[in-house]
Amino acid sequence: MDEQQARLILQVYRSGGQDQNDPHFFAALQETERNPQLAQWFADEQAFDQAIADHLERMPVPFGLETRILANAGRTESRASRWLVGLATVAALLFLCAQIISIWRNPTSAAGALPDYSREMVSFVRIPPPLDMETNDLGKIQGWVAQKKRFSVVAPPALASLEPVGCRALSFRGHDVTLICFHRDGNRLAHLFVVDRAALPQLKPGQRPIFSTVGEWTTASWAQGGHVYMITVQGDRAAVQSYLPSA
Amino acid sequence: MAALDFERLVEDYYMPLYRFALSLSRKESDAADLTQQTFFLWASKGHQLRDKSKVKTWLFTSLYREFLGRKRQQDRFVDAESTAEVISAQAIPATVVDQLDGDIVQRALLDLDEAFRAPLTLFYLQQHSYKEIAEMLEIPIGTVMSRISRGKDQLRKVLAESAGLRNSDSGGRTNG
Repeated sequence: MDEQQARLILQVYRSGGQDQNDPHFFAALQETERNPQLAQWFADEQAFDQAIADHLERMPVPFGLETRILANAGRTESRASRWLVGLATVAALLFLCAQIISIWRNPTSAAGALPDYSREMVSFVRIPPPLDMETNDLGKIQGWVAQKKRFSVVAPPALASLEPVGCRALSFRGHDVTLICFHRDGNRLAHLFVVDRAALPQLKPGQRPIFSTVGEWTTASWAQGGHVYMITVQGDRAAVQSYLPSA
Repeated sequence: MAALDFERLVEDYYMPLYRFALSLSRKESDAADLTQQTFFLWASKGHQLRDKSKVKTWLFTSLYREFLGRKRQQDRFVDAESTAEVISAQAIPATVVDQLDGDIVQRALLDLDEAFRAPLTLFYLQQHSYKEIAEMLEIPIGTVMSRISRGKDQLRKVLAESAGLRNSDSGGRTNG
């Protein structure tokens, strides 16, 4: 084996050492022990490869992607495992019953779903999602919601005064969620989520909004009629507070 | 696959799959979509895979096929193997690459010719041997070796330019 052949082979030798037991590389690796020039080239090559691999390892992945994958694909179970899903459903029902009893006994401890809802919805809008309907006419959006979801969405006045971008239908734990996006200051958006109150039964009409923080985002949630409304903005509590009904 | 296994599978592979998808599509939204679609395919068809040790290869192969399918719908695929520019590689020390901004290296990877991007990204993800890369991309082993080699040359050239190195400074470099 000459040096050129050894280089060609060693160029695909992974710098993490995963190929050390692959016989394809044995002869070329032995050649590096006999040829100092080749050995130096190989050391440089491995250092370069590792530097690129390290950069690739640090390449950012969109926040919330894992949640989206689990939310979208996880529902489509394979046929082979449906019996397992059946068992899981029974277990989930038992768990649900236990939760309902727990909630009935101690209503103040029932805030479990709201943090999950806030996190999941924020993760969804961190990267502006494609919308089902794009329009700057709030009336058209309200008409779309009334037709598709059969309820009248009431945007808080401060939010309704902003220019709408559009709307989209989502799902949270089997409950329909309606998302309406508005332009706010600069290029940033404010998001209004509306979900059936059955999804978040711990929120009661008349209660003050509940705030939560998800990274750089703040959410405010309150119950109104048969629905739970949530405003989400990138910013602090004051930013979201300015859009609330009482503001 | 049980829900717990599926979650584990997603946790283990969604990041490398996304990075591979980004190298193919060069758009974050498309990459996220391809990654989601790959797991959706696994959830609906994964049970057909009898050899569970091939899950990783199945996921990357499915993502690549999904990308090709979408691409064929958009335009005719051009095999860059025959059209890629022949580049004289430049020496760029690993220490310089280490110090480069992550965005520059990411951009350099995404700017590679299409024929080189997929095999080189898979190589640098370090999850697959060159044989597995050949299997996934459905190209001969020799072609994989050649594309990785030429892709590295092209990457070095782009990075050397980004780092402000010139041919006269580096003295050139050959890689066989």
